[in-house]
Amino acid sequence: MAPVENIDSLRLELRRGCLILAVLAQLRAEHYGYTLRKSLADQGMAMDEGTLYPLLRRLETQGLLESEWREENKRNKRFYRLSPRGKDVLEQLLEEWNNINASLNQILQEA
Amino acid sequence: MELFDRYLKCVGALLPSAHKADILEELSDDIHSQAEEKEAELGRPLFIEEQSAILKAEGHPLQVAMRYRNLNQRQLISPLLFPAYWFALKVIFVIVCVSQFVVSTIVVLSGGDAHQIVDTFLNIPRGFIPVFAWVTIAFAVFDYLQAKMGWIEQWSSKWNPADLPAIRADRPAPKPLHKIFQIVMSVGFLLYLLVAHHVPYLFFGPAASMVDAGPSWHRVYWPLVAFVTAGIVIQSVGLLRPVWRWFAPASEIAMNIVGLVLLRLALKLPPDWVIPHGAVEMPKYVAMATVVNQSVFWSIFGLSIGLAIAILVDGWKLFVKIRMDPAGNRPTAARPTFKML
Repeated sequence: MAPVENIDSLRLELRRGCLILAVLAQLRAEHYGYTLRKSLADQGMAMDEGTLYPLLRRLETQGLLESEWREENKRNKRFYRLSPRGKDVLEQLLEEWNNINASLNQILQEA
Repeated sequence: MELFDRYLKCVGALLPSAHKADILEELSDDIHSQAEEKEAELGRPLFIEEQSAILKAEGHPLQVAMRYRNLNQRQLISPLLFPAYWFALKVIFVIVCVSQFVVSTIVVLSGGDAHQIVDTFLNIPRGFIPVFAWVTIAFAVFDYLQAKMGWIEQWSSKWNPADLPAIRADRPAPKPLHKIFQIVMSVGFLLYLLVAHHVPYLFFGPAASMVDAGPSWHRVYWPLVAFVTAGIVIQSVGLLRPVWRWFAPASEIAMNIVGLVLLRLALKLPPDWVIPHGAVEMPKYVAMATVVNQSVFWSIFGLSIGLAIAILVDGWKLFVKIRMDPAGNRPTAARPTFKML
């Protein structure tokens, strides 16, 4: 039987790709880091700060996100939203996701 | 919340300088948002243990900072160790350069060929590459082992936010007095240039009876005066217009480029910066003039390399500054927290 730590690392690996999809999808509406993290967590996709913020930066560097600093509640916040290129990429990723999901369901039903 | 400030200061010390303020501002907002939510839930300010719990969940400053490094790379050395690895390489590179320079200087002073200095520096890459390879292998092995054994995770899981170092008092911002002093010094240097041109003793001291300024010096004299005068004008503009934040780095680069062009022209001139005094060409005077001319040549050569490096570094800093703030939408007045960072 596989040791428990292997299950954890497999689970982590499984989630990793989904997190990008979740973040991109959530940023169809504008969010700043904290509210984005909260809204993801509320929908069952909890993500720690150390993962989310570097990921946001990476996606922005890749041109998938746009950001803007604005003041809200007397504090400067960086608001993120999907860029036009990000919208295209999200569409493609969602299509891929649906294909994978359908294939996996079929495999599981056959099993 | 003082504990948060201490935490952010520690994280900031490990972040890449180009993005430090930006990352810290965002991190600070996240931490304070969590604290405010918790306070609203409890109906009271947070105790120190509750603040610590937020920071523990955030992660050790080292781990947090390392996640922001090398975001686009998968490499032999993980982001966690990369700063230490990079620091080690820089230290070794400086040691190699300094040791080569010291050895070459000793060789030249003991009667060797001055061109050996150039040869030695051209050979630095050949000597550095094996060292670079060994350091890389050592770090890669350590990185592999620590990942396998979880050494760093074990160590960082035991950290206590209360042990974070206290914040020192703010470093005083540069005052206009400092800029005024710079201008006074530059004006003093300009006056010295103008007067010494007519009083050789101010240049050469007691050697003025043995050597005179040569033709090459006379050819660069007025461009040099113009260059120093331009520097004074630029420093004065910087003093009168402190809000032009781009002005100082941009003008510094421009001045360095002009300086480099002048030095390049100076290097092409014949090596007659000083000539034996009067019409008498006594052998000892000629020998002295030769030594001085060689020294001037190598000083200009060294200065050219220094200026070229300064231009590259300043250019990169200006590029990063412009890229980070193209439309001026970055917050210019950060929360008090960041004044300390």
